Amino acid sequence: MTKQTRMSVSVLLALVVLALSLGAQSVPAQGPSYSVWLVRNSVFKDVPAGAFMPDRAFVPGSTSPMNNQVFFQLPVNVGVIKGGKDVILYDTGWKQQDYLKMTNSVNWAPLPDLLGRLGIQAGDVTKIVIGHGHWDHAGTLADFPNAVLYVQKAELEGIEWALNYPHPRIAAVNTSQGGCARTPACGYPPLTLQEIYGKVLAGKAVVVDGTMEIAPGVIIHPAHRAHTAGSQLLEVPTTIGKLVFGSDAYSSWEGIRDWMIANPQQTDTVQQFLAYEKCYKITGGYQNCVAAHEPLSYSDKYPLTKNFWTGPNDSRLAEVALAPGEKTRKP
Amino acid sequence: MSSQDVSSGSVVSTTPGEPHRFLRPKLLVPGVIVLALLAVLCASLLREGTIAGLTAGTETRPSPAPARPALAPAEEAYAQALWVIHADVKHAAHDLTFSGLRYKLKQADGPDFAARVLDAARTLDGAEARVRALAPPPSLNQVHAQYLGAVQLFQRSAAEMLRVTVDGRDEHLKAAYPLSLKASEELLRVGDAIWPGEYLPN
Repeated sequence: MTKQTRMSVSVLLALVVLALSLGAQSVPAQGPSYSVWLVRNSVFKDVPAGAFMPDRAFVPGSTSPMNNQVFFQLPVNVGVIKGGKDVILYDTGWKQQDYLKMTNSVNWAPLPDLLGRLGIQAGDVTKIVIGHGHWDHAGTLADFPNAVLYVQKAELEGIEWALNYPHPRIAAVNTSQGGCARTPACGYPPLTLQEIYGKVLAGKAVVVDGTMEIAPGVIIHPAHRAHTAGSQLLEVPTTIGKLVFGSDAYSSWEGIRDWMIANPQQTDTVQQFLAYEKCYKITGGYQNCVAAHEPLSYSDKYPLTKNFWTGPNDSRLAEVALAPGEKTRKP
Repeated sequence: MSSQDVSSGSVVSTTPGEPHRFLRPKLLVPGVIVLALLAVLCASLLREGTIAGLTAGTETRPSPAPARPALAPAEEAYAQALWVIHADVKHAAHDLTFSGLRYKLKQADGPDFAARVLDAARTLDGAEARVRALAPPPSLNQVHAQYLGAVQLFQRSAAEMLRVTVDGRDEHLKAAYPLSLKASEELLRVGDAIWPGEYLPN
């Protein structure tokens, strides 16, 4: 074989490898495969680093990236999953109103408007899985009248248990004006629970007790006490492998990567670590764990969300995975 | 095959029988790769430009973060006094919600349901009397009326729910629901006025 031929063969082989790698994304995966987007409903501004991740509390003068940030800017992420006859939301964010402004939040965008940018109408949503029942994750249920809600039995029981606890400090919805000091019933305003009840009244709620497959390959996994009493994860098969959504059990993707707890509310930190481990087991690592409040979201530093664009009120939308035949929504 | 055949006339003419230097195997493949890379680069630049344009044109709104004036001492005293009542009202509201939930999910029978709703109703009656006993500063008269209205809506909701135990019809729960919903919104309105940040990011 001449040097020239060897070179030609090498180049040809390189081209074949290149073509195969480029084509890999369009090869249908075995089994069901869903399209997935992540949208940012709002940003909670200037949350003290140590309040979000105790191990990353700000240390004045520190040059360590672990401790040199005073605040985090926390997105409120909502998962949008489409496949077969289903459009599934994982969490629903919250709704800014004249009576609920959350003055330290910015870039709030109505979830139906964000879905519209994906070509999805509110009435198209068939299922909603709430990772837990806090107001900033279960706050727009009424906007999706056709959707069936999936909530863990343990979540409802946990709230009720807390509210009926004999000691007033533990039973308190808020312990002080403008705070709740992480009590067990903290984060559940009457309006949010009313919305959950509204779904039950309308016959559009499934109270899940543990694991449940809600669509082919789409599986709810309990993560009780990993953030709240009845936290739940959602496994979703896609062309880039399985994803696991974790709501606030997965508040920080860096936390999952580096094994650090995050957003401890009604959290048993051991259970949060076990929820992290669940993602490693299901997906084979940490890359495909979908976090609710990861500050690095919508950047190359959180690779799952790097394919993003800007929506209404400077919101963000990221195309995470496309099912075979699904067209990109990115402008 | 002449270069003219290959190029369909787009390549500069060459001596017949001798491939043009760009079409020699040694240079053809790298050339194609370079061209492909250039095409990808151009496409990327065009796309970036489009995204940048879209971003620039996004309908951004200024963030609503006006500084709130501190409450005056009399307002603060009222807010403190109402806060204590508010804790009981929130619990009564949750009790109504969970009574309905358990009943609909068949986790509670009629007597259980009735006992719990009655309990919540008693708490609300007590709360109403306590709110009426407060003397708000003039600046908070509207807030005071709003709060009283919310408690009364919850009371009406509880009364409607109890009618289920009379005729067993779930329609009463559906009729009660919007009353509680409206009352819950009113609680948040009052909270926004005198307990800013009542609910923090969770």
